Amino acid sequence: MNSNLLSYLVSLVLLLALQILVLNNIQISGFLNPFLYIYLIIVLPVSFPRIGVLFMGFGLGLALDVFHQTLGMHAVATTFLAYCRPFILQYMAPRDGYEFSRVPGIRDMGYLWFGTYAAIMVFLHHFMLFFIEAFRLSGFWFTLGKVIGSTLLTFLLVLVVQLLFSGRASNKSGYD
Amino acid sequence: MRNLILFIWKYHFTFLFIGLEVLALTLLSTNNTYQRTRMHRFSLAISGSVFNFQDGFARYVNLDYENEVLRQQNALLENELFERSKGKTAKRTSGDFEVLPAVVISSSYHQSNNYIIINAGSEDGIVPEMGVQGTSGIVGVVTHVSDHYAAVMPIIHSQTRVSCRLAKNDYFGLLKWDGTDHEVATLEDIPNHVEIDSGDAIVTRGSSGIFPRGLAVGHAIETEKNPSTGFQSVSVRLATNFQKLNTAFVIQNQLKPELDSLQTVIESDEQ
Repeated sequence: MNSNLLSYLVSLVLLLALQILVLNNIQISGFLNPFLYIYLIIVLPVSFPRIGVLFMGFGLGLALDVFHQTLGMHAVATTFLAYCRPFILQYMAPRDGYEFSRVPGIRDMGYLWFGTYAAIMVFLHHFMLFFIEAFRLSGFWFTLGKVIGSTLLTFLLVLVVQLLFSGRASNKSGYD
Repeated sequence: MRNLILFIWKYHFTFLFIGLEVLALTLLSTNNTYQRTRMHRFSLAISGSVFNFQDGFARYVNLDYENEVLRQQNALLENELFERSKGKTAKRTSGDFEVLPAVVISSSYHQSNNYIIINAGSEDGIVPEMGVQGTSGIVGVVTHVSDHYAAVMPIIHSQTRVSCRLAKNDYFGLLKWDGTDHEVATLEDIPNHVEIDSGDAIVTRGSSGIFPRGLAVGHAIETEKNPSTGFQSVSVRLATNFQKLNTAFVIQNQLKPELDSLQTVIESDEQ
């Protein structure tokens, strides 16, 4: 079995368990909720078919919804994230394109690239999620505050997990 | 058909995304009370505003008809009012009045001699020297008549003179207009000793049989006493807004010829 696939499956189980059992119960001052499980969409290989990403996003969101008693809410946000991913990757592509086996991570692409990419992805997901949760535009700034706070929290967790799982970063920046 | 399939295939990623989102939103709205309620409210707001627009449009289309109905009804009520006052105060009114509704089709208010045209003429029984009333006060007097139209000389015409009185104490004078402000006219020949407060109502006197007694003209805003003549002139804010005049009621007085002939007899006697 491909070792990349194996480690991905391991992280899938671990992260989902972590999200459902631990992180879902964390609500810092009733305001900030970290949603680390979208890490699983963020780090899918660049060459992964985008339709597959879309179904992955839908499935992951639905799985979380089942445990969160919010059927459909996370699915909306993660499907949206999966839809946006190819466009973000395209926008951030290095000048000579991605190598086929590239994984969007610190090891392959460098700190700066991964940080920017992860921040955009997390923000998009959280923006969609919290506004679907609020389901209205009144109280826009309050909801946006929640989005930004939780984005920071999730972003930090994504960086930590990335550093733990990916080993040593290459000295190369993804842009050269 | 081929093009449609090509189109769908070209954007299959987006279509799949939309399909999955619709599925997720359906799940969301069927399983979560809060989001369902919000969705209901949202759809209600949309359908409500559409129906509101439709209703407003229909009303707008029917506006002319509605206006006409109201005008007729107003005239009817006004006539009834004259009918009632006839029995009680026959000695005080100056005639047997009837009212005919009309629409102002052209008017001016910024010249020193303004004119108004209404859409009722001699075929409707209108003759010169009839009074014209608006919805809030008197407008003027008919001067010229054609078959279907009539010209009205409004209060805001430098030649107009209307005999008016103070509603509170029956002192009377002549209302004139100086040709400047279409909202303000001047009531003259009120003796200096009459105390006039700002806001006092000015109404028609009904002396010439053109207007019935007591129609609203306006209210006093300030007064200027003139010691040399012994009379004061009162500035009157007119009740009628000549800037947006639309409905007019022509006042017919059945007894005016009688009154007029009596007056000519007096005049010829004196000569």
